[in-house]
Amino acid sequence: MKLRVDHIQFYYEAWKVLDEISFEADKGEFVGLVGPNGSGKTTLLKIIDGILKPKVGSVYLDCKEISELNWRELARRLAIVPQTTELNFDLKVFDVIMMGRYPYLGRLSVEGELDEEKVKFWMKLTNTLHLAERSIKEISGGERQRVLITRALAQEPRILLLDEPTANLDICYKIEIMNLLKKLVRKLGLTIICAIHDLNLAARYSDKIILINDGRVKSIGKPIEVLTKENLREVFKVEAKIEYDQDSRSLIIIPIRTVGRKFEKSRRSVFLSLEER
Amino acid sequence: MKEKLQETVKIRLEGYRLLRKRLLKWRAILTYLIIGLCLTIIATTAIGPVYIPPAEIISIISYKLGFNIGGFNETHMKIILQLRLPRIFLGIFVGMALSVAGVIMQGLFRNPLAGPYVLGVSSGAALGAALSIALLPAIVGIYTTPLAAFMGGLMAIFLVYNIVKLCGRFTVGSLLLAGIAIAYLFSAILSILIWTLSRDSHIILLWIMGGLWGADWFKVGVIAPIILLSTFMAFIFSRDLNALLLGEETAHSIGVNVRFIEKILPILASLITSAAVSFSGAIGFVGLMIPHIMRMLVGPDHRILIPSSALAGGIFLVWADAAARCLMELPVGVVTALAGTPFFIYLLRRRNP
Repeated sequence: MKLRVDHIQFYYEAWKVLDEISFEADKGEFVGLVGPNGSGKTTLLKIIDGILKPKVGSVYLDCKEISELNWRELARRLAIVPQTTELNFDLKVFDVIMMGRYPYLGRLSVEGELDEEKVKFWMKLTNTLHLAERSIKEISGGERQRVLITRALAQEPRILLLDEPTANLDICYKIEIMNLLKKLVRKLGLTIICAIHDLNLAARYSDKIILINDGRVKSIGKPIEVLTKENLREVFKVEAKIEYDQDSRSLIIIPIRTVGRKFEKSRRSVFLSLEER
Repeated sequence: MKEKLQETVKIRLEGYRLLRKRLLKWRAILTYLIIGLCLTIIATTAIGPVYIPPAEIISIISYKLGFNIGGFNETHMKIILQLRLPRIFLGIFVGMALSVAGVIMQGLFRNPLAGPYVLGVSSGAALGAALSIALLPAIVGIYTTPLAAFMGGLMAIFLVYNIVKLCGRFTVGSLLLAGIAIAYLFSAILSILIWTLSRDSHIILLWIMGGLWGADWFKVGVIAPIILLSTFMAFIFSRDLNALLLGEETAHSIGVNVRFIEKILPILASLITSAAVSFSGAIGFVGLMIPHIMRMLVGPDHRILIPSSALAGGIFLVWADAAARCLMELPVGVVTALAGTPFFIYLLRRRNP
C-alpha cells in the first residue's frame, strides 16, 4: 500500500505546527522521521493515523483519502504505536494484543479461533508468546514495547506508524526491536514510518529519511544524502563527525559540540563568573 | 516452506487454549453470581421482624408463578409479596445501576476515584429532592420527591455538559472538573436549604443518606427497564472501554470512535444513576467499591466486568439493606459504608502485601 502525504498544514490554535509537508512512502519501505524536539514528528504521525485533522492538505492511501474511510476501515490499514501508552490496569498481555483484533469484530461478536490463531502467530514472530498470561504491568520495558508492537501488528495493517519505539530501552532491546521492524518490512512488505531520535539507528535501519525542522521538510532521501554535516549543523545545531562503519554497514554520527544555540552564550557567561569567584 | 507449515500445524495443535480458558472463566463467574443472587433473594426475604422459613418462601413464589405446592399462610404471603420482595428487587436494581455507572466512570476517566456521582448527579438529585420536600406540594402523590430528584440529577449533567461546551475543547478532564464544580455548587445550595428549613431538615438528611424504604412494585417497574436497558447499552460499549484502557490514542488507532464514546457514556452513566437515586436516595460507596472489588476478582475486561459488577452490586446492596432492616431501620447508605470500608481495606492489603 502506498502512502502519500500531500501538502499538510496543521495548527494548534494559532500556532503553525506543520507547514507544507509532502512525501511518499512505498510498500516495503522503512521511513525514518528525524528532527529536533518539537519539530512536529508526533503531530505528523497523528495526522497520518487520522487522529488529528490537518487544516490544509490530505493523506492518501493508494489514492484514497483517509477521511473517506471510517475508523474501523482505517484501523485495518494503519496502526500506530504511540510514544507512551497508559498501562494503569492489570490487563494480561494476551488480552492487550487481542485488542488489535477489534477492528475485525462486530459490535456484539467475540473473538474466534481464527483471531486467536492470528494473534498467536504474531506473538511467535515477536517472541512474546511466553508472556501471554503475564500482566502487562509486571513485564520489562523491552518486553512491553514488543507487546505493544505486536498489538499493532494484530491489526494486520499495511502501514505501521511508530513514535520513538526505542526510547527508554537499553541497547540490546533497541537493536532487537529495530531488527524485528526491519524484518517485518523486508519479509512482509510492511511500510513503516518511525519517528526516532537516535540518528545512528535511523541511519542504520531507514531506507529513506525525512528530516523535519520547525514543521517543514528540510530534506528527504537516503540516509547518506540527508544526514550530512551541513544539515545536522543547521537543524540540530550540532557539529558532528560522520563516518561509514564497515561492520554495521551504516553511517555513524558522532556529535562533537553544539553550535550557535542562543543559551550557549549566556551559559558561557555564567561559567565565566563561576571561574572568577 | 515446510518449516512454515509445521509451525502453523504446531500453533493449531496447541489448541485455542487462551480464548477458551477465558470463556470458561467468564461463564463460571456469571454462573456463581447468578446462583448467589437467587440465594440472596431467598435468604434476605426470610430475614425481618417476622422470620419466614426459606421453604415457605419458595412455595409462595412458586404459587405466584402458577405451581401450587401448598404449605404457607396468607399473612406471610402478604408480607413477602407486598413488603419484602419489592424492597429486595429495588435494592437489586439500585445496586446494579450504581455499580455499572461506577464501572463506566472509572473506565472512562481511567481514574480509580471516579464513581457514579462524579458528574454531580447525587448533589443534583439531593437538591431536587430537598426542594420538593420543602417547597412543592405533592403534585403526583408520593412520587413527587423521586421525580424531583430525577430531574435534579438530569439538571446536573445538563449543566456540566454546557459548562464544558462553553469552555471550548471537550476532554474527559474538563468534564470531570465541571462535574466537581457543579457538585460543590449544588451542595452549597442544599446546605443553605437545610439550614433555613429546620422543619424538614431531618427528612432531607434521611433522603441524602439513602434508603430503600417505601419500595413497591410500581417503583421497581419504573426503574427496572431504564436500568436493564442502560446496563445492556453499557455492555455494548464494553470493548470500546477496554480499548480506552490503553489510552485515547491507541483506542483511536484500534478503530474506536473515542470522541463519541466520551460524550455518550457519561450521559448514559449519569442517567442510570439518576434513575437509581431518585427512589433510593444517594446511597454511597456501592458504585465506588463494587467495581474495584470486581476488577480485582475478574480482571479489567469490561465485557465481564460490567455484567459481574451489575450482579455483585445487586447482591451487595440487598444484603446491606437486610442488615439495615435488622439494625433498627438504619439508612442503607450508612450500612454500605460501614460494611464496605473494612472489606475494601482487606482487599487492598491482600493485593499489595
